[in-house]
Amino acid sequence: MAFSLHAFTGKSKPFVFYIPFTFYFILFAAGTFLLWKYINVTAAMPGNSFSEIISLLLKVILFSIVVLIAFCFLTVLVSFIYLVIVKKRGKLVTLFSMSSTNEQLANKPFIQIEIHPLLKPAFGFLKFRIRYNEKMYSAKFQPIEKNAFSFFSKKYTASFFWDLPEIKTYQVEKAWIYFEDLFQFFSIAVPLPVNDNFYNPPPAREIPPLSITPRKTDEENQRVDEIRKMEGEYLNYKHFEGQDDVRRIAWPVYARSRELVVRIPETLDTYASQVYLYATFYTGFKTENMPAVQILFLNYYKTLLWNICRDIQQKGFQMNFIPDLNDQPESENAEKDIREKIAAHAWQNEQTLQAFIKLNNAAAIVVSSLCPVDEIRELMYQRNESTLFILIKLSDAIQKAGIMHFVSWLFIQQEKNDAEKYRAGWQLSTARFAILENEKKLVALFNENSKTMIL
Amino acid sequence: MLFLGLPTIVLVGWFIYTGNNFYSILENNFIAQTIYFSLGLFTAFIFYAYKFRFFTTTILLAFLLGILYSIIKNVTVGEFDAFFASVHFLIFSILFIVGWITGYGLSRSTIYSIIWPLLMCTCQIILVGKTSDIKASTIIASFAPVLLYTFYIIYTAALIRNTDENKKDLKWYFSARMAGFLSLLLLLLFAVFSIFQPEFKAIEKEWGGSKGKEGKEGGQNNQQSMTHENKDGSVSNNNSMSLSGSLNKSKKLVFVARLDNFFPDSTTPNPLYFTSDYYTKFDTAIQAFEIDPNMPDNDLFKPDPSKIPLFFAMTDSSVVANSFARLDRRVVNAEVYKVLLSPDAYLAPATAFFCQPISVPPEYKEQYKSAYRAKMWVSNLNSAYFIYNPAGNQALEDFQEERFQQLRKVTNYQGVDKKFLDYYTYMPADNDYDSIRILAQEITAKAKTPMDKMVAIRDYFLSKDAFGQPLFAYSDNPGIPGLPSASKLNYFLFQNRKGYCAYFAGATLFMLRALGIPSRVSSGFLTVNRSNKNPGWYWFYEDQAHAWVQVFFPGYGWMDFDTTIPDVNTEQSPQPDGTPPLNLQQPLFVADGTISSLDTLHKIISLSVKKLLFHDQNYTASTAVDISLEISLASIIRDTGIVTMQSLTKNMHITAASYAEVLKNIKATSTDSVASIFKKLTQPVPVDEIKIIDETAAKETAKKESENAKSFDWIQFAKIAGMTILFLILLLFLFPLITWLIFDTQAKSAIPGNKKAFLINRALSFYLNQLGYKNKVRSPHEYALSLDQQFGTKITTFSDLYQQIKYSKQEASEAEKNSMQPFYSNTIKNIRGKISLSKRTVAFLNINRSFQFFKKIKTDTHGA
Repeated sequence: MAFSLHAFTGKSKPFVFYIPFTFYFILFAAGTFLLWKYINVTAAMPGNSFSEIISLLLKVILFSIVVLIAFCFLTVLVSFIYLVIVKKRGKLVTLFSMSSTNEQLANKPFIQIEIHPLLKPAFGFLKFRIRYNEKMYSAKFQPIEKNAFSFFSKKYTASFFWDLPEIKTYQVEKAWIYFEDLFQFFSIAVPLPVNDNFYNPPPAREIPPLSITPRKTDEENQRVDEIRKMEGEYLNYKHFEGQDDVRRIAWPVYARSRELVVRIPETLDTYASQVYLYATFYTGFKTENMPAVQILFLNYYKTLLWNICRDIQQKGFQMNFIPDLNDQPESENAEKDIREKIAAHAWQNEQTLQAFIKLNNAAAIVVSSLCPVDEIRELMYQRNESTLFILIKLSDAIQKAGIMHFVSWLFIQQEKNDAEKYRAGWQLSTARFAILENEKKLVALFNENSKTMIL
Repeated sequence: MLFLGLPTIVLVGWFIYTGNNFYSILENNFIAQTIYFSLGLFTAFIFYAYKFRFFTTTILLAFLLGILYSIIKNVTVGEFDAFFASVHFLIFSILFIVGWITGYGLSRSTIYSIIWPLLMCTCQIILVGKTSDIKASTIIASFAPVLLYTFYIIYTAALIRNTDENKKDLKWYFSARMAGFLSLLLLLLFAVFSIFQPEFKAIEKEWGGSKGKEGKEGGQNNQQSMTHENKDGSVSNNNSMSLSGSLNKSKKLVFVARLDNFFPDSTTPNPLYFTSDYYTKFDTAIQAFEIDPNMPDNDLFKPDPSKIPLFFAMTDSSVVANSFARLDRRVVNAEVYKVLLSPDAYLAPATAFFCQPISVPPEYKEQYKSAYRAKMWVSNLNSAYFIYNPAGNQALEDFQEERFQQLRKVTNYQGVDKKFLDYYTYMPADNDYDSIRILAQEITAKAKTPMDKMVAIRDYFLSKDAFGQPLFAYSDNPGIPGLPSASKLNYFLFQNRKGYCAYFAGATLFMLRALGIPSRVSSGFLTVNRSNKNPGWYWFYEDQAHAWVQVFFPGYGWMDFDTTIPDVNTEQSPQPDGTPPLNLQQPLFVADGTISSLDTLHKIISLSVKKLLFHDQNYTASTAVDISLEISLASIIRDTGIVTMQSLTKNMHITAASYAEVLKNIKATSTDSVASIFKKLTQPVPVDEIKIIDETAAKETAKKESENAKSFDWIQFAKIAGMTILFLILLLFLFPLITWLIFDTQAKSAIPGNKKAFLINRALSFYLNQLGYKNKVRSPHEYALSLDQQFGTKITTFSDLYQQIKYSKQEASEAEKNSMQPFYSNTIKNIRGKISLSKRTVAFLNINRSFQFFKKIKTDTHGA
């Protein structure tokens, strides 16, 4: 069973969390009431065996229900009172450690919980809820307990992979522990102090290879393990021109093709070259109230951006990642740093492209469909030939809805957090046409020019 | 999937099996039908594991099945085959879809996993309620599994919802929790049913009646009897009359009656049916006729003869007024001598209004337990002769015709109280009853007056079909109707056409009510005039228990009409009628009061009398007057028969009667009082008969019995439960000690060798673990070294030896083998020396350490 948590915004007040019974209980109570009502109506005419038997059976079932529910409630209450007492005496030890990544499990945020002493409700369950980023509350979740068999142990250790929808940084401010009984009819909450932050990293995915040329070697202070050929063998020939040294004419080529070509000397660079990667989160559109853009497109953009960075790093280039709001602290681990930087960003409309992109050193510029086409055109005019322009086509984040898609939507349940959730909002939004039109123009512009790439 | 699916299939299978007993459309094919359901369930389980949407896919499935059904229906291979194939397919489709929805619901929907078990529970309550085999054990046995299932499903669904598939030792975890929960649940069920056991027993006692007993004898369930046997073996008419599969009858004599009703020639006896109850209401839920104590204008006189002092009468004239009968009526006397008939039962023909318990002549005391005299307001037009053939007896045929002629004067019900008319012409409205209405209108199309309509209905039951065979037949075993929606009456009227009196009476009632004729069902005994030896005397056997219809004719009152057709197959052989209890004497002196003193030696009692019957005159005293009575010749009776003098106790309520000649000449006038009459008598007055009136005594014993039953069960249960729990707790805390004793004995008794080394190691590890010296992270050698330092033992040597044996698979040398036993004993001794007994005792109560030990062993073996 996969656990997923859906964040919901601050509409729900925290006092709701303290309601000691669950929806299941209401449902069960309503069902039992209907049963009682129905049987009573059926047994309305006393004086025969039928109504006497069913009245008695009704009594038996109601009695059993009351006893079981009382038991359930007691188990929860005992655990609750115990925790409250322990907490009051200051003997409660709680430890919530959150790590942003766990390589084994698809880089989902990983929470480890350790609480003791704690009395687990007999046959029941322990659940948690977390408050983060001021007004957001996670759904109730049940972590995987480490020693699920030690039913009487007072130490509780468990872990949980938090499937968060948005790629961004999270600040965890508070947590609640819920004691739930065996039927999950009662759920009593106790707040626990937590303060931690972490980020939800963008996941890895395959992208086509980039043809990137480093523009600049800033400081020759870092050796690379493998000497890189800076220019390829066949690339080293060019047509003979007036000012070329005649001694460099490659006669064997001439003998074969009757063409005068000169050899350019191979250079071997033993120092890593800096790739200046500019990434913009600039938007020329009003997108504040568009969850598709704010969440889905942003996730998509961050994912692809991170993978571009990864690709560059894997090629062995030293990378300088320059996003438009570059105020994140530097960290030791370069890869983690870039990833965190990417995760921390959001769409902005203050820092324009012209303002922060330095064309003289830019090896690659990553732009989104939200960047106004005119600004990009302007940049392209000014650019150096080796600068690679990468366009991330955001509309690809939402698949086009064909008739087949509709049929499959009709019969197959969609994954939660999926594009589906935002599709309707996106389809109905007014800014959609403007954004798509802009994207269309951008695609045309990129196709016209060389050294461009559309992802 | 199995945890939720299998119990559901078992339960639904059981439902289908029960359903097969009731509905013939299912054709007793419950295994196949259960498979259809399971197929739907498991297909849905698997299908929805692939994240398909429920609503669209289910609608599509239902649509496909619908198309297939209509195709099968329209294939014209022969109408009959097609019908059956399509019905089969319909059953399949419905069960499959239900299974499908349940499969989805249980595996995916939390709401469903709460609603579904509650639904099953409701169905089962209704099904169990309809059982005819009313026994505490049967009801509990058929209800407990569903109760168990209800909580099981809710819990299991919650558990599955909250269990991660990737959890380590998933099966282990699941089984452990499940086992714990199930034991808790079983304990609860046991407690609940123990607490409610007396109430179940009470229901069995009240409603089980003779059914349980007779059912056993006949080996048949689902049987119905017109009478029921009470605790003391006596017989009463049933309180409700349901339509069931078969009727139980026996040929035991119930009572004998003399009915003073003759035709105008005053020699031909005119038998009348003896009425016990009126069934005025029909319960559609259980398809049974019911007595309604609140029926309008109640004309049922129902005294309890056992509560009326002997020879004192009880009269209720309101019933005569309520009978609305003015024309052609007269007062008729009857005497009823009870054999098996319950002492509190009162049966009399027509509108009875008078009851007087009388004594049974001494020579018949063995035969008859008690007797009473009744007076009734009887119509001259009423007679038991309506169905059975008066052919050959011109006088009876003439009477029949005369009677009809007279009743034909009633043409409508104008002027009859509307409330009364509405009540007695009420019938439920639905398709089933509408078809009865249509039938009634059809067969009475030519009849104009209510009387003619009644005759038309009788003629319909007696009519013949196209082949000249009787349309209807009498049967004690009509079987259960097949179609789900058909009421039993419809099944009787339109399909089966076989039934016993309740069916004929019920069908007639609804046909009459459908025609707007006020009518009700009357139950009691039918009267058969078997011989002319003793005119006016009738013998009543258990198989004469009967139900028939009464029709209201304004002015004439309620008239009996019996439409049950004669049972041609099992024509009853005439029962031998015995000698009636004749030479009845009228007592001269009857005193009613309580015994104030008792002299068993001289056989004289002193009675505080409040009511006196002297020479047929009634006297009442405001304060009790004492009189001494000589009882040496008196026969003492209870309702159940003759008892000895020892049964008399002080303060007992009795009635004493005397036929003594000496009293004949003492006369009393109306101005006399009880005291003044007593003064005229010479005391002690010899009495011939004493009847004990068990009013309070009976109640008290019954109360005590029930109290005993309740408190006994409860205390017993509490004791057993308490002991069990104590025992379990004790066992739990003794677990470390018991384990240690077993390990220790095994280690000591083993033959020296590798096996012994293993056993010693196990015993030692357990002992140390229990005392709190657990090896957490150190190597065995380091661990042993630390222990040696602490206790001054030589565990290190043994530990090294053990590790060597364990991993090299090499046999230990002789010297090493011989050293094992002394090493073990010494080590244990050393450890004991270092740790005090109290500390060891406390340590051995720590069950958690023992569990930890075994858990460790488990993980160790996993590792290996």
